[in-house]
Amino acid sequence: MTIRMTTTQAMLGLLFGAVLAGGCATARPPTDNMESSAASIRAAQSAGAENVPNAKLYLQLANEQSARAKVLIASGGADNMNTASKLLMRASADADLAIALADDDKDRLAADQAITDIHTFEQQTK
Amino acid sequence: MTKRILIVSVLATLGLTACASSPSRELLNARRAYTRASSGPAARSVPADLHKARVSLDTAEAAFSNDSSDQRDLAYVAERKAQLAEVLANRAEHAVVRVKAEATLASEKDASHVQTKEQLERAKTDLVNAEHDVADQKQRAAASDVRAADADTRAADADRRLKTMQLELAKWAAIKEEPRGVVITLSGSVLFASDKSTLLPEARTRLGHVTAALMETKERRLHIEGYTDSQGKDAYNVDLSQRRADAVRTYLVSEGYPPDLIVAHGAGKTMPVADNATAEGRANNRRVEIIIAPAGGVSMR
Repeated sequence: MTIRMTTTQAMLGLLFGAVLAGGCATARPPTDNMESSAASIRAAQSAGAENVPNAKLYLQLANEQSARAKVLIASGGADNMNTASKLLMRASADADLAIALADDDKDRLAADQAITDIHTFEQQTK
Repeated sequence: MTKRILIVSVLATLGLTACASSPSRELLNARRAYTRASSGPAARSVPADLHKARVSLDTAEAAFSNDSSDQRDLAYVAERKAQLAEVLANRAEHAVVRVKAEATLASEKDASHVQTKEQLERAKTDLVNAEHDVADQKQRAAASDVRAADADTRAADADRRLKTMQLELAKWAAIKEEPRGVVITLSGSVLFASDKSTLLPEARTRLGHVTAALMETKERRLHIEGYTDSQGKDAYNVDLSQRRADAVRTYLVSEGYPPDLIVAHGAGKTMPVADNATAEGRANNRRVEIIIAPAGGVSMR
């Protein structure tokens, strides 16, 4: 986790530097949205979203939109920053849904297991 | 021409207006997602999350009304929030199912535990009862053995006393063993004067010895039977033999033999033991028999 945070921060620094180097000092990158979406994506991965079909779909959407946003941020310019901010907002929403779907899958399995446990116990005590 | 240009311009303006007021695909999706979520369990189980979706949709609708440039993105997010509310509602439902199932399992385990405990207690009680039964049976068997040994001892003792009595009686009367029992025969001429039923003094002495011997076995039934010879009328002989049998019975009772164990019977001239044609034979036929019934039964002719 520490390594990932460090990598993300490094990436943000590089992107920020690239924008400044591009001479567009007035177009600020959407740092909050970048951090927020990156945190949601990491949380979705930790929740096991890649192993749950529905969750995997939304995690993929989040990753794609996040990647597009990074490209736009790297390109610089106010319009690109604005578009990137919106893409990151979408990516956060997708990742949050992926987290919930992954957790829901675990809850469903736990409920099924609890019912199976009853049946198993009833069979054993017949 | 001018009129045609005006009409085209109006239509073009209307068309542009219509395009501008058409909701985006994202907004339509967001509306549908919210409608679905709000009509499901989310309203009950996750009202706060549904409210966030509502706020998000309202923001998207406002952006659409204001023709804002980020209306599509806001609608996209609103759809996800509505979907999120639905999924969170599902999670809550799953949690309820799991908690109920776990409670049911715990309850069934408790019930099973109680049942098993009760079965164990019953089994313990049954075991204790069985052990008591075995102990009782052993005790009864031991008591039965003791009783059987006592009975054997008593039977042996009775046999010994009977033999002793027979040896004693043999000195005073004729003794023989028949299927009906031990038969003691006393001569009528020794016991009674001719045609009388009163015991002679000598008879009392002899009967005294007989009675003393009989007292050794006074739990036995006695049959006293009187007989005559063939002379005289039958009815008279029966009456005489009955009175003589009664006289012997009365004597035995007076000496202490239990009266309910003695039966007296006059048989007259029946069952002769000797020839009535001779004086000696008739003397032998005039007799009184005391029959000692076998142990455990009554012997009758």
